[in-house]
Amino acid sequence: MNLPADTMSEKQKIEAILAGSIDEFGYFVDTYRDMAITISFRICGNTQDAEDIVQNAFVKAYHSLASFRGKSKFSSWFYRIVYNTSLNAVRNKNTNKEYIDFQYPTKKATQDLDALQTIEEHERNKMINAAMSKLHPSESMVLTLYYMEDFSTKEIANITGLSKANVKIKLHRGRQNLSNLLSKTLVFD
Amino acid sequence: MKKNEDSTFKILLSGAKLSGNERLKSRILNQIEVENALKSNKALRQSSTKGNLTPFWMLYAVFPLAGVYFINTGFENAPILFMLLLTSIVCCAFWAITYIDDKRKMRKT
Repeated sequence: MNLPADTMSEKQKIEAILAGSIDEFGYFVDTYRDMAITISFRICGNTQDAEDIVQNAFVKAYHSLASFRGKSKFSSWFYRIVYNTSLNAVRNKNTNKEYIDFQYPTKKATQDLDALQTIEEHERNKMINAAMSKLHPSESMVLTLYYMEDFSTKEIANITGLSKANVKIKLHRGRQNLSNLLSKTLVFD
Repeated sequence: MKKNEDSTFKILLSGAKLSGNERLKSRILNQIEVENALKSNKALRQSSTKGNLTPFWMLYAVFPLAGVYFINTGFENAPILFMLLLTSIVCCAFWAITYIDDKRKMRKT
């Protein structure tokens, strides 16, 4: 049964990829690329390395797609690959941990979003990312998955291989440390 | 209190998602295509290497028959026997070199 690409579920897309359609994999790259870059960047702290790691993670995911049994969400399964690939890359190579300003998702300049607000938002995001890069990688990783992707502590435990209790502890510590760091730099309205 | 804290963090962190290079998608799809091509090429070469064996096995089968023929004829055509032996040695050496070279290249890819 051939369904149009945009109406296919992820499961159907995976089946299509396994049947040999590489183009369908583009959907997964588009959907999970930004979060994968964020996760990888939290661990390696370098933009160029993060992109290379994400590229490798996507290729790994493509080749091991047959082993995805669909018991968990595709995102959890894939982020686990990204997480492990990032950790291996950091172990194998001393990455440059210097914080580098990164590209944010481009928001189309709309008329109602005034320029000053955009600059403020950009600066705020820059500060948050700078603060996140000062946290322990596991803490920033847990915070990223919990607040950006709405993963439960159980799902985060699955991705990172930590215990559920450990995830909760890291979440608590991460929140505390991030608050301390941000209170020094950000002024809340 | 906890919910307020959670929503504050959610708002703060929601904008901090990073974005990769737009070319990353084409890089990934290209790499997958190249790796797939290499894989199928490797499979093709493996099967062609197996196929290469056939003529040499035929040669090995012909050689004892030729031996029987020359023994029966009382080695009247000894120089031809010598040429046949030399040719088969050269063929075997050539096959061995290409086979080993193929294996080495496959290991590299």
